[in-house]
Amino acid sequence: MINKFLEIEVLLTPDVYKALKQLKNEDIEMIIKKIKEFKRYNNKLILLDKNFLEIFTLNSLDEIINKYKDFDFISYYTGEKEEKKEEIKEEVIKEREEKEETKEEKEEVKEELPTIEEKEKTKNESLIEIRESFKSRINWIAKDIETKVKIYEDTDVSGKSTCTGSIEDFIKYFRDRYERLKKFIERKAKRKAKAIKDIRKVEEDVFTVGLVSDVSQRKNGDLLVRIEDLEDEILLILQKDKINNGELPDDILLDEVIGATGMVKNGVMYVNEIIRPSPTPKEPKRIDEEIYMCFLSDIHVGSNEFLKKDFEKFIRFLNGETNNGFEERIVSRLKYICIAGDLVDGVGVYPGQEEDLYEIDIIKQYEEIANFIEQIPEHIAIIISPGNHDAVRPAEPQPRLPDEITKLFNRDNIYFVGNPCVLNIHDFNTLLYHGRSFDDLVSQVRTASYENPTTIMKELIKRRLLCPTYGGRCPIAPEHKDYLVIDKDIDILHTGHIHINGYGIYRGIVMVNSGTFQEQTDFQKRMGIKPTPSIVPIINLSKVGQKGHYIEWDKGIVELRY
Amino acid sequence: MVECSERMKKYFDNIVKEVEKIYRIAEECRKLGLDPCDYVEIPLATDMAGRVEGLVGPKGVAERIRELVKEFGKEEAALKIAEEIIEGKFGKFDREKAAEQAVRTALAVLTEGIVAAPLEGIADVKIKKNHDGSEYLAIYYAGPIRSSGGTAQALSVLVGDFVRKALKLDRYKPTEDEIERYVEEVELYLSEVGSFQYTPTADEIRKAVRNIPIEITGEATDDVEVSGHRDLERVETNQLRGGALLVLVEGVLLKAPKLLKYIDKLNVEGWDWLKEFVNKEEEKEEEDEEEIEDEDINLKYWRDVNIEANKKYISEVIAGRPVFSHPSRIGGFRLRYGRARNTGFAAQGFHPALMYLVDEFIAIGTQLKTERPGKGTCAMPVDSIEGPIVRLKNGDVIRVETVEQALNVRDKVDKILFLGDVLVNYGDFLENNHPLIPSCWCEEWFEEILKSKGIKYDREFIKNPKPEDAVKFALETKTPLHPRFTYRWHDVSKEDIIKLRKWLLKGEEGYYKNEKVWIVEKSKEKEILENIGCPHLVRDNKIIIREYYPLLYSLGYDVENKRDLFNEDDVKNAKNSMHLINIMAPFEVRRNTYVYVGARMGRPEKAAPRKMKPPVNGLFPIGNAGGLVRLINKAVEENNTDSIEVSYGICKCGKISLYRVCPYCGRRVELNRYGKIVAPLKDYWFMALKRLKINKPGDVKCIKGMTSKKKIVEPLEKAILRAMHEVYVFKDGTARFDTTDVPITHFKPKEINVSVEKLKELGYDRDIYGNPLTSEDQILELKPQDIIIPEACAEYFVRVANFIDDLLEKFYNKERFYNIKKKEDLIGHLVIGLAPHTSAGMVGRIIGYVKANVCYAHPYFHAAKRRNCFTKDTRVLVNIDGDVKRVTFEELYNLFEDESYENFAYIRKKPKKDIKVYSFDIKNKKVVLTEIEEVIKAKSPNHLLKFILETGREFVTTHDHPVLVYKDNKFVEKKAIEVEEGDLILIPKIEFQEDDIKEIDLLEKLLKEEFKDLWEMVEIEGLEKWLNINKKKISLSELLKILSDYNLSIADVPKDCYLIIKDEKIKRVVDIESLLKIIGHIVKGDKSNLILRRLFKIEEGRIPSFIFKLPKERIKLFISTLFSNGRIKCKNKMLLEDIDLLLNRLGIISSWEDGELILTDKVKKLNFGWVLAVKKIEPIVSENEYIYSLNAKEHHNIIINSNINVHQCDGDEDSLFLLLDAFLNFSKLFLPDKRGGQMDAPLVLTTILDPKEVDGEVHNMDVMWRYPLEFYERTLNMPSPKELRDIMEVVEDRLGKPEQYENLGYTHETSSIDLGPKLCAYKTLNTMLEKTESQLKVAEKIRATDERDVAEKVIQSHFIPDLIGNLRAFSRQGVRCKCGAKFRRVPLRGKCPKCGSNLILTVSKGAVEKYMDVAEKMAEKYNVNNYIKQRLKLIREGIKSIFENDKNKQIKLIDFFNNYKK
Repeated sequence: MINKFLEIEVLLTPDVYKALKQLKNEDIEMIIKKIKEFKRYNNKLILLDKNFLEIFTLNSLDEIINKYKDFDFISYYTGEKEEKKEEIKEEVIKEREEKEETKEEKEEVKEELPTIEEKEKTKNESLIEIRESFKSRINWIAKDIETKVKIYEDTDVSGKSTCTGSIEDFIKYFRDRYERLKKFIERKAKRKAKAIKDIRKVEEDVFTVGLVSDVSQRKNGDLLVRIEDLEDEILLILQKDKINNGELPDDILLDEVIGATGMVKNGVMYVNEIIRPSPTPKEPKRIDEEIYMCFLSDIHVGSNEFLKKDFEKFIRFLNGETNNGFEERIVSRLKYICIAGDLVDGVGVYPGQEEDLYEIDIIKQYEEIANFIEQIPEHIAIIISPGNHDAVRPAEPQPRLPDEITKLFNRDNIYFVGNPCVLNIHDFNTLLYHGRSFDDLVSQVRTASYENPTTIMKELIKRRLLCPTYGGRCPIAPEHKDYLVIDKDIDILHTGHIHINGYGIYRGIVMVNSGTFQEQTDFQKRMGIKPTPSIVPIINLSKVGQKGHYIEWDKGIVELRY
Repeated sequence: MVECSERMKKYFDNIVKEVEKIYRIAEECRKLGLDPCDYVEIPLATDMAGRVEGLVGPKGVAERIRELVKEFGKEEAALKIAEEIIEGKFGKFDREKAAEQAVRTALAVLTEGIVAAPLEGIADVKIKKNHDGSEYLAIYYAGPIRSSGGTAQALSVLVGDFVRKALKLDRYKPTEDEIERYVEEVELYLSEVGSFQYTPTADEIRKAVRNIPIEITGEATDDVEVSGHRDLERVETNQLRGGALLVLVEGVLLKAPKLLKYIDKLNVEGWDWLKEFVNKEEEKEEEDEEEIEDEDINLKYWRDVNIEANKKYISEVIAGRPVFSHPSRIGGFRLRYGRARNTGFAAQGFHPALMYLVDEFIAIGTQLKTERPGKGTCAMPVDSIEGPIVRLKNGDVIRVETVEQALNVRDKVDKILFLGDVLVNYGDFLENNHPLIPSCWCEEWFEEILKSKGIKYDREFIKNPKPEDAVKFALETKTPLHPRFTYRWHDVSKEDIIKLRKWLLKGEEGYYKNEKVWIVEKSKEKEILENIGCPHLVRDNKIIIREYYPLLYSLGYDVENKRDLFNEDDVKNAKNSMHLINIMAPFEVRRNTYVYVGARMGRPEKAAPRKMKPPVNGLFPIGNAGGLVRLINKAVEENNTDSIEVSYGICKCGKISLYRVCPYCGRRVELNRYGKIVAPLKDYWFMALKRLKINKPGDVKCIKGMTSKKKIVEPLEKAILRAMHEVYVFKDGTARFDTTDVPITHFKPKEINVSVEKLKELGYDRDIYGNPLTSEDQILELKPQDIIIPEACAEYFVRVANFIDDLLEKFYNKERFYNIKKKEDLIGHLVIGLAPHTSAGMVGRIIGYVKANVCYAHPYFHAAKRRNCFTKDTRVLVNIDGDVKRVTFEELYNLFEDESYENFAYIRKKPKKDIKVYSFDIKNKKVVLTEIEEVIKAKSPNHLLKFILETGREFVTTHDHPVLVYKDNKFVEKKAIEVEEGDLILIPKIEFQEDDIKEIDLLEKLLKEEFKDLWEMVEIEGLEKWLNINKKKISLSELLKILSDYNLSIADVPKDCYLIIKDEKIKRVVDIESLLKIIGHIVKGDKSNLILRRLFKIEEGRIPSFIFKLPKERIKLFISTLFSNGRIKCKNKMLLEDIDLLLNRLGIISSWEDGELILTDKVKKLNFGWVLAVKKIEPIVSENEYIYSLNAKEHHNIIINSNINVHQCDGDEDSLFLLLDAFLNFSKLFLPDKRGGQMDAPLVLTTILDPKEVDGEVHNMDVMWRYPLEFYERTLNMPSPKELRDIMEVVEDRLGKPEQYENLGYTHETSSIDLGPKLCAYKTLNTMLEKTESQLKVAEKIRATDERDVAEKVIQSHFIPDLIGNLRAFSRQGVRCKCGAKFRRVPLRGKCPKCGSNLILTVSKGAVEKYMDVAEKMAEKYNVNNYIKQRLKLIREGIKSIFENDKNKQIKLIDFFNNYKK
């Protein structure tokens, strides 16, 4: 194969060689053909790297020729570019000025907190380091793109918590869940559900909606599901053969809301169909403009396992420290970063945590992450929601980080929201949820596994519920409204928590589980969880669902995944 | 029958008789059919075998177990019995059932039939299939297997393997997934559930699972699911299998060394892989070892000892339970060795004055956790040890020596400078295997020194010396200064000492209250005086010192002659403060304390009737009819009823009967139906009242429903009668009283509220000095099954006894039995004692009661009920006489390999060759060949005993080694040190398997590798022809080369050649007669032959071993060559011993004198040997570093013990119940149908206490009247307690002898066992706030305690987890209804679906916030670290966020602004 490429004066990088070996022969022939054609327009020596392999595979020949016929491959490979040096210099100066500014601000902080002077100093040094690396010739396209972020306030509990700890709170909470999901189910069933108290007499084809209060299995394999509505309850029987041939689901969870049709006999219902409030499948949302959004979570600053070096590298990447044109293209068009919780490791999250922290002061932990965040170019909009390690109440829904913390982030273009929260980001309805309920789901649903987070996320979408079962590991605050119901029609579901990257599209909804910047902890080791640290998912919003739309920054290397 | 004196025998007989009497009464009652069973459901067992049969069966097994145990020992018997069950000796079962029965019975034998593990710990035994189709055995373990202890757990696996083999099943072949599942589970267990004593690596687990021949599996024990290896075909659950993990980790892996021992002993195949796990334990131990600094020998008594503080006990501090001293902190407890009559066996002595000064947080029986020797202990009052030293608010520093004084000053105490002594017995160290720490300088030690030097002294001087006298005594006798005036100089610096001295010398003698004192102006140096613990008063700004004599002399000032003896220059030479003082003082000043010991409060003592939650009077189910309090009378009044699930029958009269005798018509009914019926409450209620002839019974609390399998109800009459006597019932039908148990070995009548007359009736006729009992102040030794109960228990038992009497009279129509009116009437009655998690009760006899909330009983009694967490190593007998051994112990030791280091002894288990030992079988009276389990090498004690017998024989052994002494045609075991001159010691007649060798091929023998060096030297003559060479002689090495070149063997070489070395020539093949003659001459030294000497090792002065086995004729021939003039002259003792052995074989006993062996007939000959009188016993100084010993199988003549380190469990709380109550009312059919349901139930009862069969922990308790001087001296080197074992007598030394029950000694007197607070302050304070405030108050008061640390720990280990836990619980909580219904979450209806009432949250806001304010306040006051403060702040925010409505907040804010504007 190498010879084949040599014949057309193309060298292969080792990783491309590997990648090619995975491809079918006809695909390789196609690439060779394309390059051959291209060479007629630009007959420079081509060292085929991953970036260009993508380009040659994914783009049409005309596009490639148009774009690259005058491309300077030599300088691409050597990174030298005479003409643009001055420009860069200017930029550097600019950045320096900015840096001076931040420094001054820092000094103010210093006066306030003289004890942390030392730390600040070292942090400023690392700041300089990163800013100094900021001398690429990048054309910041995203700078000129308007930030379009709108928080759907009705999906965010922040400042609206109503619970006072009474039993009425709990009643209101579950009633709200029931009422709201019932509407979705009725919409799907295209008919009104009957109240349970009214269906006892009816014989056939009954449709009702209820909150699951008990699930058990008969010895013969039938599933018994008890559901309730506001006034009454009824037992559903899901016959074994119907479950086995797929007519009925076997994964009914406690406290989800389901619709059921079937026949009522002797006060129990023999179910024909279970209707869930799942969103209708659709074509994934795309926009025309090539903009990138990237997803972070579970950074865990303060933990001994926090991968500081990797995270700094990522920040440098955001500042334009790129390896090739492909990366440059992405970073230049990167506009949004969502962070779905666990910015810091926190304090007192689990017993004995102090042993695992290099910084046991939570305020200092936040100062450190704030410092990192500040170094992200200001044209990038950042959305931050909390997780179970953050300094807000552990019960979900969690309000946004308190002012005491948010004021540490000296930066514009940053949005603090609760967990969960839906935002409209550049026309994409994006749901940020930390993912605490995953711990429960993994043991409840047979098909769900930690290794593949989308298997869990699907279950949430299917039920339109971020935390279906009450009383498990995920604590719930009984608000009068169930913020854990997925009310909006969302385009992106972004979660974290389990420290394993996952990506997929389900019913037209993009599911992203951002990984982590924390190495495997002792706890995870014991639990057999293998995290995938330092991988950041990036999505090309113009191509969602199409080839080449999903990219990962993997410990400094940017690679196309889907 | 146990070994005991006549007196004890009578005592036991009385108990057994009484038990039988009560049993008969109960049987009579039971026969009436009113109870679930027609017989008493607690089988009586006198011993382990009986208990096993009672506990798990099968029927008839007890007798066989007894036989097997006698023959093979417990462990082996367990395996054998398993085999026999499989073979069908006890009835036919199907394969799985047989396997199950075998495993259960074997485990029951291993656990002494005490614990529930064989019943409850094994859920099932199944035969399952491997993937290759072969069958294997799987044991399903459950949580309660924990109660059986690691060794028994491990052995249960071995039992399983035996059973597997007996059933001819294949091994378990785990899949990779199954293996990984164990790895995951172990890790998950560690993170989610708890810890193991040992954490195995993943690879170790893999290795073990792969190799263990059966499947160790089990049922789910914890509600934690694995996330990885789920839904495995052969693993039924996705949850943790706690029981199985325990068996794998704490059993097989941790106890690998012990397991291997049995494997080797029993020759079990397929366990070689386990050897890799053997070194686990030692590694751990080595880490624990502490180092002593190398130091100048002169400093021995004064040196600073560097022992690392042990912080384990303080890793957790519980709210409301004070820390008395931080680890090793100056001012903490001073460890004093000894045992009082109320301490030992995990109970330690504390000065009662201290108990009051720490605000009564230490009461009698309060559990403490101590730094050393570690583990929990019960506090017992001992007032003959040093009390606390305190500083009062006015500055006075005083010793508090009595309870009265403590009560007087306790409000004036400013600081407790020193906590005083804690009395710990040597046995506690031995038990915990904690190196002995240097003894404090105490009166006992001082006294032993005086005794050893033969110095006359007054007892009063030791107990209560005058300061001047102490100084004079020290100067005159040149002994160290009396301990009382030996201050803690080591706690201050040299500079301080100089400062103190300068300051003190500014003062002068004066008078205070007519007493000569030293008076000096107050100054900052007073603090130094406080720090060394020297008492003084502060009056008018002057310091007044009464003890100035010893103080000033110690500082080098001669008070008498007003002369300063000290030269300041000497300060430089002083290595430490103690050295400095000894330079100054004209006498020796010992170091007061080497190490301080820390302690904190554990659990408070307990004494309360056992109540269920909610408390009930009877086990009659009424559903929800009686409301939350379950009052049946209320239900009847209101005409309520409910449906209940029960077993019932339909009587011929047509009525439903819940009882086996129809209450309507009295006919017998079979309870053959089961299901939900409407409870006929009214009928039953009135019928019961009628039967009892009672009109108004008052409130009777019943249960909601039965939890047992069959749900057979208890007659309502019992509930009614209990209610009338305010007696509560436990789930098994008994009325119990729970109490902390503490040991006592001796008591005074006046302490226990019993008259002298009554005691005499009970068999206490003499005091410990042998005087007749006449006064209530005499000290009596407690009999092992007698108990002294707390007063509260006595009061409860009076009620219970009356209930029983009413029951007998009104329900069973029998005579009243107890007829008790007051507490004293209980004395002499029998009870059952039952420890937590056990299933075997122990019969006890009440002999008195005390105010303290503890149950005093003999340590044996507590140990008899105690959970048996380990098995002591079996007692093995060893042949130490040396007469039959052919190698020295050292040689023997070197013949073994696979050395491990356990309990401070080197142990080798694997013989390099097939080595056995000859030993004497007492029963069959003959010498037999036995296997060696292990050989042991241990540090030698300083002294050994040398026994010289008539005929000149001698042997050396350690003090504690038992020796067989022949007395009255019997063999008695005596400890070496107890053997007296004139005692007869056996020389058994020895018989060997004869081996008639005709000739020996020397050449062949020479080929052994060990003679390689001879190959060059030895030449062979006479091979010219065969080899076809010219050389007449050829060297052996050349010959060998030729042989190998031609591929020939030595057998091909002609036999008729000669071996030549130097000038010595000998035939290649020698006939035995000539050989014997030559050897005889060589031995005598007449002749020499290098080859023979080398080949038969004659140069070591020994007789070649093959000779011993020759026929007698040949031996005669051989010996005759040795004799000249009827004597054998020989200086070599080893050789003489060898010759003696040969003579022994010929039936001749010899005598040795001056290196000559003479035949003699003067000694007593028996048909199995000779008995020789001990002529002389002399202690000798051990010349060698090590002593050796071996453990062999069964029937041997000398016993050594080998202690294996074991862990001790908590659980010092027992239940007591009246014997008749248990016989009448207990039924297995009431026990809950769930795992663990049979724990804590008296499934079997032991009537006679055999110390051998009790928890081995008590075997380590020492029983001496004083500790020897050597003990104190040697503690300074911090030896392992094991090293001093030979100079210390412990219970173990007496086992199996009459002395095991009588004449136990103790070292420290206590004036009364009832001194000190009776109730721990923890129990008198109501709120957690009060408790923690008091806890911190105590901490502030004690110098050795850091209150800030206490506050931090309390917040972190108690308040924060509580807050977080409750906050979390709040957001996952269920709801309940007042009707008793419970729901996982609130129903959408918002009302109770059952009754329509409003529902109630189970976790309220109040419960969540409970500790918030306390914690914050405490954090503030004690300025705890920032981390804790932040955590509290976050929790506060979290609580606010959940319980405060944001909207309200906003409105308030707006209101505020609006108001402002206005």
